[in-house]
Amino acid sequence: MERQDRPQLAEIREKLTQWNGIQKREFLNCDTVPGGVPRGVICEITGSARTEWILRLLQQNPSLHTFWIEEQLTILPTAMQQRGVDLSRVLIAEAGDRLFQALRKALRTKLFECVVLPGAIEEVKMLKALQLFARESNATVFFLSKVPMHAWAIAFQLSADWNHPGVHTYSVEVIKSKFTRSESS
Amino acid sequence: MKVACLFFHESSSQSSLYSLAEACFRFSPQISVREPEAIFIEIGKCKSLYSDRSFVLRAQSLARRLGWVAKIALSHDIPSSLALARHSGASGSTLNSLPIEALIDFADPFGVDPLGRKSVRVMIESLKSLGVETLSEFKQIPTASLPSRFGGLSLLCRQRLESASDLLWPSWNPPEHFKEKLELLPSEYCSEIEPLLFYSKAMLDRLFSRLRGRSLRAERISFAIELEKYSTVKNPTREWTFELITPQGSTLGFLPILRERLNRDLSQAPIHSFVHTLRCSVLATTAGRSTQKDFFNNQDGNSHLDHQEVLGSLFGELEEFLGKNHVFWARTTEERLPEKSWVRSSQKGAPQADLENRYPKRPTRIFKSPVPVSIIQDRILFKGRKFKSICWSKLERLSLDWLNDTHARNYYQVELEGGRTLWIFSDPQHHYFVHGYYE
Repeated sequence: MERQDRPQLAEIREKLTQWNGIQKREFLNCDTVPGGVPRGVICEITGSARTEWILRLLQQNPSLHTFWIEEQLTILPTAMQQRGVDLSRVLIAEAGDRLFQALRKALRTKLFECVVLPGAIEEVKMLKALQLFARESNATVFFLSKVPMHAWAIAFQLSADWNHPGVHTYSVEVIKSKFTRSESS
Repeated sequence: MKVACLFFHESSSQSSLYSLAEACFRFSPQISVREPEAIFIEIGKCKSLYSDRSFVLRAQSLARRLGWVAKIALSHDIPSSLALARHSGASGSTLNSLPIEALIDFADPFGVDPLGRKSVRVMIESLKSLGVETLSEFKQIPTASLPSRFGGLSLLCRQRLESASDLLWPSWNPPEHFKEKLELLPSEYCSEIEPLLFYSKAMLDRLFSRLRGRSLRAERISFAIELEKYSTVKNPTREWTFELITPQGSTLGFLPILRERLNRDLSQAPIHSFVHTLRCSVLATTAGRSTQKDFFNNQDGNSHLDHQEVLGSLFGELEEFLGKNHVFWARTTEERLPEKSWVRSSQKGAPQADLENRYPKRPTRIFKSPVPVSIIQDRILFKGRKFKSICWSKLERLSLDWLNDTHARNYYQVELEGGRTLWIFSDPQHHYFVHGYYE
């Protein structure tokens, strides 16, 4: 067989995906992340402008149903609406110390494409369970953490930081990404 | 005309048969019941909705869910469908091959004439003594000789054997109240949540199948357990009422809510004896989904109503689990003060206030109660740490109306060295507080 006639790696992967009945990975649109944010995985967002970034993501994906869960509520829904988020698509829960159980119940229903948590879950067992739930429900779970965590279950890490004072803009840096749109398609 | 007969060999309580009959309204509105063994459903006008085979599979599945094993036969009229269901052994039996005993079903298909049945039995004995064993042999007897040889009933049987499509269906109206009761056997008595839920599921399945048959959903449900009357048990009946945010039309949606409520209440006040009876009734209903699948308003295989129902179920479950008002949709208001600018709502899609260009962008994060800070020149002492402020925005004055005894607040957006921005206000006594931050 001539070299140019050989199927390319991407083609083989696509064929295998079709044969195995595996769905292609979907991505959420985001203007600050070329290629988008993968769905069905755990993403960790760090930096001083992490909430602004996630609100922008929700604004750019208006069809998403979002579950926003916090131990003690600090998010201001008025600010969410001011940033273009449709509040009728965001179910908010103040879970106290029952955060993980509530989260599991929400993911099990497969109603939400996006789940936002205030911080990372450090226990490996819970993290793995969460990863499985996220994959099954094809929902992206966002951790809004202060510092990035090193865990294999986190497929996508991003840092959003305010730019220098006086300018209300932030810069975004992708720290880790296991999936890219071009690779999967 | 096409009639389906659901025939049951093992008779159970009549209420259960009526429950199944009510659940069968999902197939057709024309239903009749023969106590205590058969249900007739007219399905001739529903052939566009399901084939004969799919009807049989659906009806069997429904009957199984309600605890019945049904033998189902389809024919062109009621007596022949009943006779086929009762007497046909293997599949493929035809009406002509049925034994002569099937004539009883032709003489009295609804089981309302015991004297007539007695006469038919005498007639059948006579026929058998003459060697007539099957319906086809009965058909070979000349019609003109039947009344004189076997009586008037034989002629009636013959006529109905030829065609009984003009037979009047006795009216059957399902009960207006949706109540179900399950009495446990002594071996099934339980006091733990999981077995309780296990037995409740069967009862709830029955209740929701009845609702589904009538195209209704439950809005308010009462659930009760009756305990054995030990001397230590003060209240032998425990009852809970559920006000459902989104009306539920299936056990799948209601059971998690029930589980959470029982979990919470029984952990606070455990059961001190065994449960012997479960009761459940629907106190309020609302129009539900159609008995048939919604093909037009369909998103990813689930209709909008199904999606709402699952969401309502999750909402109810989380509300029971986390407490009231701990799960909500936010609804913004016209108020400018941050703590009053939104309210918690249990209704999805409540109208939002128009905030566009109404006031400056609010911080994304807000403290439950403002944190006092000290301001010394360009330094801000906050939670024991010093921050250098770069820029203070223009003042935004927020005050309530004169009826409320709340002081006006002067808000500033304060940019710190490093890019962070705090939302700080000062009160009339010039005390400064951090109310939120831009994250």
